[in-house]
Amino acid sequence: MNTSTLLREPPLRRALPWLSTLVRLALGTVWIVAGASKVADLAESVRAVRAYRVLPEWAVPTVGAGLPFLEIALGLLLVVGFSVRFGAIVSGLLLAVFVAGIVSASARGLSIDCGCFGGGGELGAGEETAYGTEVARDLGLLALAGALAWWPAGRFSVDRWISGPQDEGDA
Amino acid sequence: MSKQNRARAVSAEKLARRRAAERRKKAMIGGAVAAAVLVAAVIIGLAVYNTRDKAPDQFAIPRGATANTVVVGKPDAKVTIDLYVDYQCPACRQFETQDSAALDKMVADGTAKIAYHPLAILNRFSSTEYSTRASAASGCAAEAGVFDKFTKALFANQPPEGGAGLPNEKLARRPARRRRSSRSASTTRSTPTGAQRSPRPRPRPV
Repeated sequence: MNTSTLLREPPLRRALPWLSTLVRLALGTVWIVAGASKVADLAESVRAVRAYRVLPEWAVPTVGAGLPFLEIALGLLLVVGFSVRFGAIVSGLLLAVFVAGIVSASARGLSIDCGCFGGGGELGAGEETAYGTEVARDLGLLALAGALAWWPAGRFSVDRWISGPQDEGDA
Repeated sequence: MSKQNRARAVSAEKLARRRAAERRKKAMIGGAVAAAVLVAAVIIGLAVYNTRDKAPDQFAIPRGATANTVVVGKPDAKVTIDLYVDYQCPACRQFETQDSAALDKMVADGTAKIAYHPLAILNRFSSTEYSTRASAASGCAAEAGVFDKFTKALFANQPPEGGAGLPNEKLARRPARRRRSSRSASTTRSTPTGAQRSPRPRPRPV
């Protein structure tokens, strides 16, 4: 891309790859932080999953122990920018599942902590649930994931390095 | 449009189509690799969880206890009552204060034995993981042959939820005097040194 085409492009079009990069790094960081906060205590993560009372017991350890590692791996994929669209879609699906889980826990009158960033499980007497905040946060992240799936081509990504400079114009 | 130009346009279109197909292929392969990475992550998580799960078996089991329980009463008693207790749990305390006389009677006349399962489920209501410390200390009490008495003492002095709980020094204090005679053989083997051993909290029971 030479200087003359750069000047002819509207500012939004020029800003989009940078916005995409920003969203990608933000979403990736959130996944890594969320995964890291659970990975040190897998037993707690398993209890947090069990507290939703959705999954059959045989599936609970797989989800409880696998989720923290999945989140970290997904975060790393997004941060390095490898298969960004795929990562964004998986993020969106995961977040949709989380939202559904929290809404269902709320609807069934369970009193639990979502365990989103570690912790989780039954709340004690006098502890307030925070379903509204938790759902709002996940919906915000879901919107970011959607935007990233729509515009995955950003700067500083492995995808861009693989596809090479010839695709820059139409990426 | 001249013939030449048309030919050029067609070949440009072909090239663009080929490029698009190549991009799609790359994206598919990338997606497959990324999916494999995520699946591998889940498998690693499960493997880590399963190996970690076996750790508690490697701890020295106190005398008069099994890996999960401390049994109070005659081993040949017909009925076994399983009690799952967290020393910080108010409901457990209530049960203990209301029904311990009846339980003691059944244990004393050999009708029943009690299998205690000390649990740590209420650590988050303690700033010092009191549930873990108390249940770990109960293992030392079992080793010293004073589990029953220790349990009664801890429920009698149960700290409120949300606080620091009893300090380790207090948990480790040797009971003044033993009363019960219905205890198993471990009582006779226990020594004052055994009773004074400081309870070192072990990792949270799973």
